[in-house]
Amino acid sequence: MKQKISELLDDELSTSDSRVVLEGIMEDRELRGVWERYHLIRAAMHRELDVIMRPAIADRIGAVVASANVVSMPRAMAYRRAMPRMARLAAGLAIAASVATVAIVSLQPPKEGSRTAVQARASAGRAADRRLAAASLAAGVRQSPAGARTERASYQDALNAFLVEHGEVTPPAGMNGMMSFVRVVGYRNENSRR
Amino acid sequence: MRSMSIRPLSLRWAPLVLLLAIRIASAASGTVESAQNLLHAMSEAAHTLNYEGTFIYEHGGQIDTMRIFHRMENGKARERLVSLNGAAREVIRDHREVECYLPDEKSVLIEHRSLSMRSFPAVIPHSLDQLRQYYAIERAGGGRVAGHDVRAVLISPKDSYRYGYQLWADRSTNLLLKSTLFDHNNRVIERFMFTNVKIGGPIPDRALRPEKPGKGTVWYREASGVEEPISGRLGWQARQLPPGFALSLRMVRARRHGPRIQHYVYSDGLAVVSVFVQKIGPQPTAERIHGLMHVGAVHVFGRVIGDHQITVVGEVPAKTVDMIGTSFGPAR
Repeated sequence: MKQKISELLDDELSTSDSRVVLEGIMEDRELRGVWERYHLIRAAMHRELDVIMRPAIADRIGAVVASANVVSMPRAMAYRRAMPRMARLAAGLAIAASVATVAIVSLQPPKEGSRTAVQARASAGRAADRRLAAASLAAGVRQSPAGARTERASYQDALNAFLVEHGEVTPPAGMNGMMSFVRVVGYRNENSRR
Repeated sequence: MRSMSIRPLSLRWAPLVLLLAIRIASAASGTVESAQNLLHAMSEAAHTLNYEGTFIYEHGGQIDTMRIFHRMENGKARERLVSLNGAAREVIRDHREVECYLPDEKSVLIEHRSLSMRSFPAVIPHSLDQLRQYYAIERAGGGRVAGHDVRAVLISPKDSYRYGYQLWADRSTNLLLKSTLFDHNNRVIERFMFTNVKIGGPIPDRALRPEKPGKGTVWYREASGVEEPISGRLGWQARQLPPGFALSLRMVRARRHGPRIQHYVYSDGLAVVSVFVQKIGPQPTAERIHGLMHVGAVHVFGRVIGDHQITVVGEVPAKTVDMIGTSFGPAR
């Protein structure tokens, strides 16, 4: 089961297996402990410990992890550590400058057949191919603190803006109102997945 | 064609108003009242408690793990959400703005939350009786989530035009600890659940600060737009709506850069669908928004009518945005 938890953390389980493992975590105090420890190890490896705990404790655990044998870590974690992180994350991804962009780039055509699915595929395409100039669609203008302006106008930006604006009139529901932002943070590059 | 009426209050307050309305109007049924009381308590808890914890977000066969910090101070919330797997993305939001830190993109995005939207007149949900035509609301037992005893509420759709919710709340504080969004066939669309959570106690300032952006990070600041409600004759309308849906709100969004956009909002009292109408110029077909797409539970339907782009967005099943989008056109 611990191996399964490790694989779950690394997105290496099928959906059905993931659900089985998650149910196990929810029901078993010991497995929840394993889940948390693996997160700590991962955070230490990524130097993100202060995200989840106070610095003094983070430093101590970081030191312990730094001196630990990598082989003793979950297999998948060790494997992933060896990969250039940015290379995995950046592959094939182009993100436009809007909060909801991160969500919108994971737009997918419906899994089930639809009379519009083919059109959707043609229009949605891959994120990297979507930097299309469409001046008449909502042109986003962003300003950096230094004052430099970057004008971007695209089909993608228009969708992003619509998602954000829809979110403004949607009642907060689920996860105490954080749902729309969970989707933003939860976006991940498909290319970074195994 | 379904007649449409404007309901002049704000969707942002819809859950609270809905819960109050349900609470008042449901005395006839003990079970239903109990469920509705719990919903009300959950809404209150989310707006009054400090909490921090780790939770799982499951969607479309993917599972993400995130850390959340939520602090209430003088009635205002400040939250920080951090992805614990994949890129260490963060969202920090308060009543003034939303900041999105994307270290994998070397970007920081800042969008101001619209002042006018924060105080925007809202839309009252349909009457309780009307709502009950489309949803069943009931208590759904208890259990344990992240080591906490919980009790649950089930909001089930009565047809396939809307999604349902099952919500589990901490028995002692009523904080929502787990939720699922499911369709008419009880297939789970999205699921959130805490694996550990600390409720109450102080949240230090440093827990709400982002990681220092790396060298070379580019900052983007979105200019805030202007929204204004519109009244009078409808320029556009949906000629066919799913049962229970009605026009709740319409406004014009005048962006600082870009064309003005008409925004029509349809709701059944819980589910909300937006229709955006935007004038476009001549451009390749491939650059227009066509057809059906989705991200998690949100479906998007795009269509071009003459020189206008029509885009329908909603946390509803595909058939709902499809019906509204295909029937949408200039008012007659």
